[in-house]
Amino acid sequence: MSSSTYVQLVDLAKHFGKVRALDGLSLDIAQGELVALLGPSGCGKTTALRALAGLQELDRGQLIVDGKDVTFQNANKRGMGMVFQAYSLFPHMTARENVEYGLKLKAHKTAGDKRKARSAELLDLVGLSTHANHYPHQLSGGQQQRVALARALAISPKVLLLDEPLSALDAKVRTQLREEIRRIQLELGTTTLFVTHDQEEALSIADRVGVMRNGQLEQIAAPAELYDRPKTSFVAEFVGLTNPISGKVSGGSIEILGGVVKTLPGSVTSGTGIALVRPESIDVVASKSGNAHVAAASFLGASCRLNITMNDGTRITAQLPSLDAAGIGAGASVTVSLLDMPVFVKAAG
Amino acid sequence: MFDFSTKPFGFQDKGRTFRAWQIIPSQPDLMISIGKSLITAGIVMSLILFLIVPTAIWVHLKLPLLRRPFELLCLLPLAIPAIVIVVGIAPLYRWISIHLTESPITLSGVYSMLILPYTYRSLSAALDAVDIHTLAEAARTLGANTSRVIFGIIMPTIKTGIVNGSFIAIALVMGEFTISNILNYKTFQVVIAQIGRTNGNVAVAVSLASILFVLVLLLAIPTKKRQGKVLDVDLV
Repeated sequence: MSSSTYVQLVDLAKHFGKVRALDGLSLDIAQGELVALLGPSGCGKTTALRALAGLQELDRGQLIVDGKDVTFQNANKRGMGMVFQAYSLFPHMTARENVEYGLKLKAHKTAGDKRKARSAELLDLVGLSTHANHYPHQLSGGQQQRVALARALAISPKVLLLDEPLSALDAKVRTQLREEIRRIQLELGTTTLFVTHDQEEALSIADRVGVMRNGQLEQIAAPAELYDRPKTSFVAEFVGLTNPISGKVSGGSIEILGGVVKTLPGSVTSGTGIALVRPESIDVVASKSGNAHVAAASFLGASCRLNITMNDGTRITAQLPSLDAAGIGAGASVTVSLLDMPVFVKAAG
Repeated sequence: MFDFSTKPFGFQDKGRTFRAWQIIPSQPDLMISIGKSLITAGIVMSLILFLIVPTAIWVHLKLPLLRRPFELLCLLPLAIPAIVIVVGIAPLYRWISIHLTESPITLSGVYSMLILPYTYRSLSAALDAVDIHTLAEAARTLGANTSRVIFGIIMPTIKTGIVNGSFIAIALVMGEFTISNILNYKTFQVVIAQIGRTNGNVAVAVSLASILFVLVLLLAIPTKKRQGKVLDVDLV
């Protein structure tokens, strides 16, 4: 355990019948850090979060928070603030009463005046001070989740647990709220575990992102490292888009698209492999005697996605800044080359 | 009913008369039976609030596999004819009236069983309408223990179902005749039937009065906000 480790999940295991939701998951979180757990449905990320909250019993493993073993501690004694995927505000209480609820209880008993000041402060922090006396049914989905965030933070939680809190919201509110979550988390320095299946959400606000698969942590790293230097083919394929391109591997390099690029550690080391190439690692230039032609072009705003068919029939997807893609439309002849970025290579077949 | 209750029933009466209403208080046993029936209704309501509601919440929250058997069990009093229930419980009530008390208040035991089909359905519908699991988990993470979760969070959330179930229960307690009559208890409804045999006008007046009483009771239902406060008791 490093000196800055605040939360430790040690060898967690949980079975639901024959399904292994957690299968030896271990994770360390530093104080004040925001760690996102990312993975497909059923990978165990929510089970891990619920176990830390005390809402899920474990078959095996140990949970340590601030040097104290909390594995068998009741959820109401753990001091974890949690925001749920479903709207969870108490419908018979106003926004202010919801925020004050935790402070009224024995575990966090606070005097009336202090409680009011604290709820006012937190509602202000989430930008809802004017909605303090509104009932949940008078608030929009985004506002309800903000109040839920304020309610979770009111008890000054040891760890803030976010269980896909943005998934029920529309795209614009989601982006806005995730940035606010990050701002508030940095402002308060609250150690946070954030579970999501939305990679953009995870990559954009987390200090570190853990990719889970079959109840285990596949890789945990800073967002840029996870994206640029995946350690397994699952991580490479799950995070971001990839083009599987077959080529010959030798001496830490692979020959693809008429060029040679370095392979990442963990890749296949010899024989034929499939390189997982990011769309933005492919350079496309309009050329009359090119080695490919554009099958379709999609304008995405700041960037442009091109579906390209190589002269040998291989289909790939490239993503260019819209300015660079100007004039490249469907049917255009282009020259495709690779940027000098290492790729992950998985075994063929 | 008002027409019947104001019709003349003596030789000296002519036209409309309120004599049937005026002599209600002087009817033997009536006031006592009203009081006892109300106490019985109060006990049944308390049993609903502190026994049936928490049990229904507990089953929904913690024992989902028992939901079907529990529902079936609660429906049984509806499937078994009242006369069969009376025959079954008569020895028990005979023992109670010999050794403990002859008060009709003891009927609250059998009434609590009779109201189960109506109360449970009403509660179950209310519990299914909200995500009580998430609410309960949210409350637990904020430091609430089980009694706080049930009495402070879930019960105020399903208050409409509880109020509906309670009113059905009161209606049943104030109207049930077969069991109380056969067991020979002088409840409100039994006394009305007795009065009806001697003076129909008074019996109709009392019945109308009881309907008006229930109406007043309905109007006196706590408002949404107050109900929440009433139920949000600190049991920690």
